[in-house]
Amino acid sequence: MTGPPETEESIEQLAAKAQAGCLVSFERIVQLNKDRLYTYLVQFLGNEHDAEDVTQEAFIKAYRHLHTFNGKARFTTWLFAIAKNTALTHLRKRKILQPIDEMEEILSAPAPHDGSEAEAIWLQARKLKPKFYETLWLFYAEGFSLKETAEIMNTNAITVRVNLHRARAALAKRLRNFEQ
Amino acid sequence: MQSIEDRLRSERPAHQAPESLTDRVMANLASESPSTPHPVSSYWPRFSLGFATVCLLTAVSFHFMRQNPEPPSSPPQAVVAVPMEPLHIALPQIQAVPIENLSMHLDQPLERELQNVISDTRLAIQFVASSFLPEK
Repeated sequence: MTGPPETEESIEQLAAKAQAGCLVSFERIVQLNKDRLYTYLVQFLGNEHDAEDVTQEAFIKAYRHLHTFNGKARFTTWLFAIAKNTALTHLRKRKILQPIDEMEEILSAPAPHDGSEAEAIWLQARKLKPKFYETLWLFYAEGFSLKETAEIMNTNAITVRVNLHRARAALAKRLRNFEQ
Repeated sequence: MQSIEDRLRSERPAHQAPESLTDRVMANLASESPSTPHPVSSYWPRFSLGFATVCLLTAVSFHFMRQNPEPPSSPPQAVVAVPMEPLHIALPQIQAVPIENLSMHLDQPLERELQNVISDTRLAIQFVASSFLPEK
């Protein structure tokens, strides 16, 4: 096991070290990504308690499967895909998700928020179809590319592009109605 | 549409994960070995070794079988033709019968039916004639 990273390293460099057995590097990965992953899972699961459990489980699962990360995608994309799969498994275990029908009921549940105006657009976005909301979140909030969003959502980039277009149009219409 | 995209990027809600999350994750990982490819199950080496042994034994036995060919077959024996005595079996004598005799006693329904039809037709014509033709 090597020592802690002395300089600021990219997530890919940290991942490479963690693959080589550096637990400290993996700890740094957790520290750098926990808030981001936790926020995504709060959106996905609809409550903070489940999001906390799934975040922890996702990191543990990522560590156990580090050897399967081949560097073709960004490490963050890989981590989010694991988080999503872990969340789906969590929902299946809790039998919240009867048919895995694109998390229709799950994502329609209101996420905890502080009621600030800053979240108004995302509150409106949450009322869209779940797949639209997730696409908007991954693309705009998380900053993933079309291809990366598609990888996380287990679909293709064209579908993501179409969903983004429809989601934006639906959100604009909803915002117009909301502001009137 | 641009403003919506800007707002989606800038107004992203953020949540803080609990501080203890990192510690909990690392505490779980401390008991685990670093991520390495899962060791191959001991079943496969055993299977491979067994398979290789069977192949080797098969090859060796095949080799020995080729070295020890089958014993030469016995020389061909000459076939001696033994003259057989002719068989004398008493066969029944069958005499030829004219074919007409065979069908003489058979019922002939078609012929009878034709005769009936002709008879009925004749009666019908006679009836029509007696009914409609003027008498002399």
